[in-house]
Amino acid sequence: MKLKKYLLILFCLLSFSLHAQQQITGRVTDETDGSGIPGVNVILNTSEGRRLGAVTAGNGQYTVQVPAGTKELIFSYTGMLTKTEAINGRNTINVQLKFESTQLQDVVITALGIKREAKALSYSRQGMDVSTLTEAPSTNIVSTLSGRIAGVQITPPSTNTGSARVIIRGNNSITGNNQPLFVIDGIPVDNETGDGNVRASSNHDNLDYGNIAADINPEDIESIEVLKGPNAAALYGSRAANGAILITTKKSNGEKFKASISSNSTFQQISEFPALQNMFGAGNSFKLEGSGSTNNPQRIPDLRVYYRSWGPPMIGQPVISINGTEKLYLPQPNNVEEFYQTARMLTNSLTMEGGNKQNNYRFSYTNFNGNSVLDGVNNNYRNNANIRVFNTFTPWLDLDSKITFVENTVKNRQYMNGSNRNPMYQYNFMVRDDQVSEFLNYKDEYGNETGSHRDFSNPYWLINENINQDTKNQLQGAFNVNAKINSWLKLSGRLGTEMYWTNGYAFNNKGAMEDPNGKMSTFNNSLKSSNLDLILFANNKVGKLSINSFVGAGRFQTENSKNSQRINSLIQPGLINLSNSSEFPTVSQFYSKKVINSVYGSTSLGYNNYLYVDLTARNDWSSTLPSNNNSYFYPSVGGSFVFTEAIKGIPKSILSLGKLRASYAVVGNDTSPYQLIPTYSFNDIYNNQAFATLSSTFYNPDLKPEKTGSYEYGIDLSFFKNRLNFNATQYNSSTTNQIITAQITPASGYTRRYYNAGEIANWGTELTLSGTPIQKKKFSWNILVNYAKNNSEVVSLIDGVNSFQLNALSVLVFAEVGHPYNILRGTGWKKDEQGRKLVAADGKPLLDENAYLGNSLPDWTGGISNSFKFKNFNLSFLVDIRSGGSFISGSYRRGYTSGARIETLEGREDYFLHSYIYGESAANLTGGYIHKDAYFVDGTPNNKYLTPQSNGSSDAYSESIFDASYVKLRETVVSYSIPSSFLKKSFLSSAKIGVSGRNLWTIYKNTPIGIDPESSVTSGNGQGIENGSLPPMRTFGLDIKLIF
Amino acid sequence: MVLLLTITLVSCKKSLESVNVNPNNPETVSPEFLLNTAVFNTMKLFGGPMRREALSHYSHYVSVGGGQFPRYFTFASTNNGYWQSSYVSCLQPLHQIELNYKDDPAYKNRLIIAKIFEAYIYSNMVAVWGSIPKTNALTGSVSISYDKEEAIYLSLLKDLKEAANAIDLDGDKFTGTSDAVFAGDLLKWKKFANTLRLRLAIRISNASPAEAKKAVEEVMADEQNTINKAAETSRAFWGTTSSNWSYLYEYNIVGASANASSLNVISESLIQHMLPYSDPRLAVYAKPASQGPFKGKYWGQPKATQLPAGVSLPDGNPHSPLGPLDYSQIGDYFTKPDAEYVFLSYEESCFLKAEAALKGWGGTKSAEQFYNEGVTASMSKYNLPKQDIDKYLQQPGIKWNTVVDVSERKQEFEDFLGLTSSAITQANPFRQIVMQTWLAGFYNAMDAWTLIRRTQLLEFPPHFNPDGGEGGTVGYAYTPQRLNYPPVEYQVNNAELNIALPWLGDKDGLKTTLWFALPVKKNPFLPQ
Repeated sequence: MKLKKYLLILFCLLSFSLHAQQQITGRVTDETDGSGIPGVNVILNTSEGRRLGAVTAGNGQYTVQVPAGTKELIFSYTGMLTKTEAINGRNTINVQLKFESTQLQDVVITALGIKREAKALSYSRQGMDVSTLTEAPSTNIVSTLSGRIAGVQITPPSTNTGSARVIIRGNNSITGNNQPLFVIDGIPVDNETGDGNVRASSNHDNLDYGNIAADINPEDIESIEVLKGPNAAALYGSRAANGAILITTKKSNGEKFKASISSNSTFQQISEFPALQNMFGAGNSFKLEGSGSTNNPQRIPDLRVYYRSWGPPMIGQPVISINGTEKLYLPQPNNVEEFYQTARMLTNSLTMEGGNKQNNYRFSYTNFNGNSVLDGVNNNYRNNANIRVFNTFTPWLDLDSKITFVENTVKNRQYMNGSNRNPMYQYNFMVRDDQVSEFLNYKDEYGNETGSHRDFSNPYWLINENINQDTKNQLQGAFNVNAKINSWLKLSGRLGTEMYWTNGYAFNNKGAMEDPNGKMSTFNNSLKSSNLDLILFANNKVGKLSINSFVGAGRFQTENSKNSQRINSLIQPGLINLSNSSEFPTVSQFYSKKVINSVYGSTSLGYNNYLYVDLTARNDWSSTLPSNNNSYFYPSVGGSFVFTEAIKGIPKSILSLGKLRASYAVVGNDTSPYQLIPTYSFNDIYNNQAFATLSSTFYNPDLKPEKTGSYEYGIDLSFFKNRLNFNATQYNSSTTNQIITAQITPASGYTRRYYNAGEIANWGTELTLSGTPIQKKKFSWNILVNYAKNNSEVVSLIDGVNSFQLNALSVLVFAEVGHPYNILRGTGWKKDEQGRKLVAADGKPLLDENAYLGNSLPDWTGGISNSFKFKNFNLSFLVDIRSGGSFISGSYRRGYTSGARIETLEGREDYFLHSYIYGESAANLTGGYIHKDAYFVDGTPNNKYLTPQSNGSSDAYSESIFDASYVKLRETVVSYSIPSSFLKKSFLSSAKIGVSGRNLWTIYKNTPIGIDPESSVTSGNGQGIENGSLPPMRTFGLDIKLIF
Repeated sequence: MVLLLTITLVSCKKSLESVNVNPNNPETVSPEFLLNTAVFNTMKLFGGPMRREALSHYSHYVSVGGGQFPRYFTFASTNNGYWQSSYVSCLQPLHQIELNYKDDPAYKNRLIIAKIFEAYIYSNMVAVWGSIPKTNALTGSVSISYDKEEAIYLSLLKDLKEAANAIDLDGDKFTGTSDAVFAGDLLKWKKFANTLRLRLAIRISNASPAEAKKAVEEVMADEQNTINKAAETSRAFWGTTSSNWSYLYEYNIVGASANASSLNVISESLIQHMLPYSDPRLAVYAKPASQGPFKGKYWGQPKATQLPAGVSLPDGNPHSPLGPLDYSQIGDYFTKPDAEYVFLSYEESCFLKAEAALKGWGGTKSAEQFYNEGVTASMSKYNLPKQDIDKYLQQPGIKWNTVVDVSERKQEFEDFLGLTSSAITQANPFRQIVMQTWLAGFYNAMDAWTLIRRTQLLEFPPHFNPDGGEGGTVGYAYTPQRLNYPPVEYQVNNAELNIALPWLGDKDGLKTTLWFALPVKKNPFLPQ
């Protein structure tokens, strides 16, 4: 009450200062139920600019004094659409405001940035709620899509600076790219993953350089739309065969100068450490033995010769620790936890915009500074600057220009996965008596690594002596010129360019246990790509018939160059310079260029606002295909029928919109440059002469373009004036004539061969249900539920080839005919007809070398997002769900074979007792580890006891296969907008403060403690393998946004 | 307007084609850049990781420690790697020479040399796996048929004969550095071809005596065109830059601390065959232990350091607390960065001829003469003094057709468990040839493994800690008789593989005896 009084006084004071010439009164009501809305800002648009005139009272009533020259009143209320009313001499102006959410569904952005009415679309698309994008930021914008959009599956990056994988509606290509095209303001951008789609078994030098999408500044994003199938993306050409993610960035709304600053601080920590045992320390077979060498006459056991926790019980006996000093052999239960810190990610942004409707600008600058839960690795510094200018030269000619510059530097990227240079991996199986302090002196007086177990480098050496750094400078430009020819014809020219220059080095100091001579490499990569399009639009209405057409021609060109230099031994320790080598550096130079020319066209016919037909056609000519096959045509056709418009008598208050839609599309696809003729490379010098190596891929000079055919149909229903919306889509796509490099028998002289063959079918269902169960003045609740189920089948590969390998780490990931994409095979536990595990006579598992171990793809994915608004408070949370799918955990397996994981305790004490105290022989143990519920081949139950250290279960990879299902509270945001009335006297026009959390709660998972079901070794196609990834993490954030 | 654009675009078709010309790599290279590719990759295969974990261990020269192959089991990706290197890295460059220059008479000799080296590679591969793809290999086809082991040997014998006869000693040759084996010397290639033919014929002398005899007699009839002196040894050297360092140097010396648990160290069997005979080569092959309880002594590591099930020794197990560094390490001659890799040596040539002569299949000298020549060649290679060589050759058991007196020193010849002995107690010149071939061939593990399998004459203990259940009910496993086919063949060449599997008796395992080999000789002291 006091507040209201205060406000009233404030308004009275204010009104005195005005030269009141006219008084306008009126009432602001909610369009849905006609009730009055209190707290609506009534803004005067005067000749001197805008200012607040009044705020509506409890019943929505307002009275405002209007000075001369005021043309319009603007009614604004958070969460509702702002409405502008011309005064036109009126004294009473009553307005109705609409909720924003209902408006969002009306007009959507489609291919080529064309805005269309949602009800006219014949295919499914889904917009993402971007309201919490900046408040609960993720290190990679791709991760924020997870759980929000039906049919989009995200594999998050393994580190904060890594590459994420996104696929829409499953995998269409067996060996090629399956990720959608990113389109920013109508310009496709390269989103090549920076981990080179690494395979698990690749060498230990891999660093993940992140993907370009990670550099997109969330501050600049106005909207994100996902076009799911080839139907939606037919017009972006080949590169959108896997769908498209359209990002529209903000521009000035053409009003007066406005500036805003925002600051976001996010803190990240490990939420779940692996569960490790704390009874047995370093050693082997329960034993620790001193070498008995002359300098150790007492034969004190030296732990440096061990690297696994299979020693005796730790009861405080003297031992020589890994740093060479004597210590007591005692458990260190927190040695893994102590290794990690809380990471912080700070984002600060400044935005300025202004101008008028005809000519305006928006400038934004964002600085990001982040690090990692492991101190010293993945330090990231990023600057984004973006300027967007809109000019109207004449009433018929305008230009929209945008230039974005990104500078991204990462110091000390973490080596990937199971690399022996990845300190993270090693800590998942840290020897149980090691103290972090024993590692701190990682270097001896000669500069050699110390404090390492064999097979286990000193993590501080890895962090401090394997230095790498890279900087990517990225420049994107988008220029869009529009010329209105007449009332229904418009010509647009678009030029989009993307360039980046990356340079960096990776240094491995000499003196390392793994690599005593050290090495170093540097690289300079650059990419220049451009899209040039000329499009003629025609929009007309003839009677009940509306026509929406365009024809265009375009050219896409991309040039890539990669240069690298490498030296394989160092002279001077610590000198990071290529000249620091006693040998000639190895250099490599690679340049590629690709051109696609296209013509395309589309026409949409609408009849009487309820019947729509869409037709598109495109022809591409790609430089990567042989000249007789390089032209490919692909059409699409679709239609939608809005039966609520067509059939009279449907009560709109119940069923506001009902639509049936169906579409069919074909998309062609090409390949990478230079994939037609085999070539040799000179890799090295031997015997004082260079020698040449033929490409190990057998090329096909007659490649044809690949084809994805897809159809979908669905229904969209809106009830109770859009308070409840339901969409269902059924789709089916099949990619044939695939350009695949399939593994062939090496006896052919090659390891892979190019084919035009194979077929993958994907089909599935997507459902979304959204609604506003409560919508009151002070309280509203929105909910969005989505569900998607994708099925896939590898229909055929190549004649005579039944399967091929996509990835391997102990288990193999295959595309196999008759199975879904990405099945896991490997050495499994042999079972009898009843499905019981079989053991050999010695009690160890019987193995089946080529057992089916699972499928890495989820059965279904879904998400539930809720947002609540109470007065000026907003609360939103997102639950992300994945059901089904399997993966092998290399970390678990390593943790198990190393004797570190808590699971290895089973039978250990018992074995110790029976074997070492009772002295039973190995063959006649009456206690120890036993494989329970296992049987001998003759059907009798297993009764053989074993040592847990070699119980054989790690030989059966099926024992390290886990269910990848999860339910996670992915995102939680609470924000508070300071009422504008409070800010009235300040220089602020708006202020918002928010706290957020990501991954705060894993509601459900089936993996062992410390293993995240989402982790993966790669952003490439061969999913289903985890190895050396970080334990599950959560983040907390604080966000402040001020608008001046 | 759009029509106009279309026309322009279509007319650009030609220019699109020129965009796709690879500026980075050549489409053809001359044979000068391909022979060494094959030679170097062959060294990297049979002298690389495969030698470290499988061959050197199966040859009983060294002991390796843990891991699948060293524990007489298989490992999918490693085995795939061996198979892939054989065809793609080793054979393919030679095949490219043949494919691209077969119609050009100016390259005649170079084509033959490619063929000879290809025969060498196949002769190793057939000894590793048995039946393998050969006739239709390297074509890039999706499925590649297998050739029977027997047929491969016969075709290699034929190819080598033709190659040796076809070399035109006045014709074209490789320039010096482009031929890392013989620096372009055509006569040496011819001698290599003939001697390799001799090796293969002798290798199949159990399996197909008639074919073997025919080929041996042909070669021996032209003995002057076989490897007859040290300078004709077929070998190549690793290099001094890091990318072509010897694998053993890289693994055992540079990576010594990283690989501390799995170093190649001298085996007990080698010491057992050399020390009691005062073999002067021991000081070249091995170093005394530099640490541990046996410091200063030649002390070899047994296959498995633990005792077999149910066995206990009165003084305990001397090996149980020892690590690899407590044993004799491999001599410096073999661990140099630019060590040699021997394809076929003069000494082996002598011993092959000794075998031929012993069988009465020709030769200008007697078996004994060839035997002595071989031992002398082997020792001279390491610059050992003549008196030491003569002294060695006069020893009982070493001297041709003599036996050694083991009374009071029986244990010196035995392994620590007393299961095997190196003592020649019954006159057996053939066993003497085999033992000397084995000793002379130190660290040429591929050839030694083949020798062991074809003769089954020398005594080596089995592995008491085999992996993957290979020990069966008795808990030990004998030296593998082959490697199994790699999983990649099951995955992508399955139909052809299924035709070949019955040739092995459907048992694609490490224990399956190949056609050329003899069954494992069982150890009489162990449970069968």
